[in-house]
Amino acid sequence: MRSEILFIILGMAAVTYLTRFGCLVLFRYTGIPSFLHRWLKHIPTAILTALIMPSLLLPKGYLDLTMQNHYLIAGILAAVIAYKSRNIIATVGLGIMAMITLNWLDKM
Amino acid sequence: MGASLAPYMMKLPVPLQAILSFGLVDESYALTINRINSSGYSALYQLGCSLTLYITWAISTAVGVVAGSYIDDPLQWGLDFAMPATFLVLLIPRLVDKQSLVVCGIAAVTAVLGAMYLPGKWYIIIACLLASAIGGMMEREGVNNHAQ
Repeated sequence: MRSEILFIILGMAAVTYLTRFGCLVLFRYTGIPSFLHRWLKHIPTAILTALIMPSLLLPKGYLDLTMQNHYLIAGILAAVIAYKSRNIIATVGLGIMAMITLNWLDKM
Repeated sequence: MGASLAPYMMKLPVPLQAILSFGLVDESYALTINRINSSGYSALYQLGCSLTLYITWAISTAVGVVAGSYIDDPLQWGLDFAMPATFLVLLIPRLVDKQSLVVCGIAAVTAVLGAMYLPGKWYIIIACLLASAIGGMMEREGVNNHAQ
């Protein structure tokens, strides 16, 4: 059982590493086509949005647009702070404080 | 992630590419891409981010294993909110033109729908590919309009 877990970890590590390093090796031989370059330019925006939105709108696995969804409320607040301050520490700090406050209010 | 950093990492020596690839996670990727926007690509910066994250991760995991048993449910504190909050700071400065806003909108809708109806984490890949492909197509139209 233990060695099985170790093999699973090693296997996942290999596959993950391949996705990171594979493109570099491939592009070294082929070069980067210009259509791909235009496409890749938008990947950061797309990937960040795809990571953020579901974690705010579906924190428990289903769509939750009510005031009970603390992630959504704190997320809106964090977005405003992020826009004004452009500062990670301020945004994360105030965002987590908002989360803790909302949880605390809920329990009252 | 690997592909979108490739244009910058191509010129680096292969051993360095191999190390940087090893350290490439969501957070180091986001920091590196943001630095490219503000002051250009730096392999050293990427290495620093990766190394710091890697060490922090290892230490935090060790602390979590030891201390975790004393907290009944860490998620109820909402500490996992740190992840979307960090990404928000990295995302919002990117939304400066029409194309970025459209890409963001499409990715948001696709990701939420995908998260509702698709198993696992497929929504991330589908939303990312679809939204960035549409962004890329808009780019070409924009260039053509400029030329005319």
